[in-house]
Amino acid sequence: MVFQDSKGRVNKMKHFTLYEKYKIPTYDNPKQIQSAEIDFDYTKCNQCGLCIVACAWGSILTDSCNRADILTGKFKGKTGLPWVKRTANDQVKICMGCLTCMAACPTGAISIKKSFRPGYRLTKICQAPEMKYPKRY
Amino acid sequence: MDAMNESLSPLGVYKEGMPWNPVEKVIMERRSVRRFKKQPPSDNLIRRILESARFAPSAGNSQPWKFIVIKSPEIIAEMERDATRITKLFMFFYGYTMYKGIRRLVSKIMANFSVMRLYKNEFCTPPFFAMTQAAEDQTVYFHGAPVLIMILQDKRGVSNPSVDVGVVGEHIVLAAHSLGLGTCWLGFARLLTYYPKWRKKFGLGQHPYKFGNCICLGYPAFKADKEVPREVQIVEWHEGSMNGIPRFERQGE
Repeated sequence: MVFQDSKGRVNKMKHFTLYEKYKIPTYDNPKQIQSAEIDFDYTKCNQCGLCIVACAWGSILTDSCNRADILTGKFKGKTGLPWVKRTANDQVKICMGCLTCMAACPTGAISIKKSFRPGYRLTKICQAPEMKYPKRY
Repeated sequence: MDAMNESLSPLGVYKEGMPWNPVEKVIMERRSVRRFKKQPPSDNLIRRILESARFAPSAGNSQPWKFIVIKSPEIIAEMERDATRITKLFMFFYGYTMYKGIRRLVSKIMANFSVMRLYKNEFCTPPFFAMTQAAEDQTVYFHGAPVLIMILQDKRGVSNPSVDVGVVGEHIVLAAHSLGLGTCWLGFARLLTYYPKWRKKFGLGQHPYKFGNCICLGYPAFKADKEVPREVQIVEWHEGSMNGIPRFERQGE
């Protein structure tokens, strides 16, 4: 198994301790789950609502509607500015960084700052935190 | 034979840094589509997609799968309703991120000492958050899709039949995408296996078969295809002698 330092470089072999192997992270504790952080450029946003519809978890919301409202036809028209929902204790953003919203956005207003990294039992070992576009080797 | 080789040659020849060929383009740009037009794809188009599934590779050519095509809006709506209902039941007890204070604490202890250990894969972070969202009526599972293709897995398949289900599903997804349809994997259709009604209707528990996976199909309501960034992958390369140390390469950087 591989271990990455803070810059994401591989420097030594990682072995899970028994505690790390079995410890379930608390899903609403930001010290144990780093959720993905996407950034909305509100100057570019035209409030079409495509990111809300495209979101796999329906966690992109606005003041007036959520994903279920749009899909079931309860809500039509301009949605207002979107944001990402948080857990009930307001600590962790509910986002896994799949970036389907980024692909759906017609104006390119969405970008990603941090990738999704759960801790302890679910630690990602072979995925470095940097996000890169597909490369033509 | 010559004509066949010729038509395949631009796909087969590799040059460094060349643009994506059509197959790669479909793979790189395919994104899951979660909103569909009302108009369902024609039956022959669905048959054409299932034809590419029929020729998917499987261990020992055992073909351990069964396909169920669901086109009825009434049935899909009822599946949606039942999947949401059972999610609400689960999340009432275990969805601790939805609650505050003492209820969160009790719920978290209950979750960590039962389902999080028993169903490790079903209750890791992504499906857990998706289920809390569905329980709060923020999202829907079946995305209002006009067609579902349910893949059942034959338990008697050679070696590891769930891999074959994955392979056949990817054939369906890529073929459908190249023909202009949008697709999305719906692993949450597994929630229906808790209902005797659905087990009986689709034969989910009848001897050779069990639930494999589910894919929804339809014409996408908007253009969702684009390349997106993903995490850099660390790959281990073994090139030297038997006692040598492997080289770690950062794939994609």
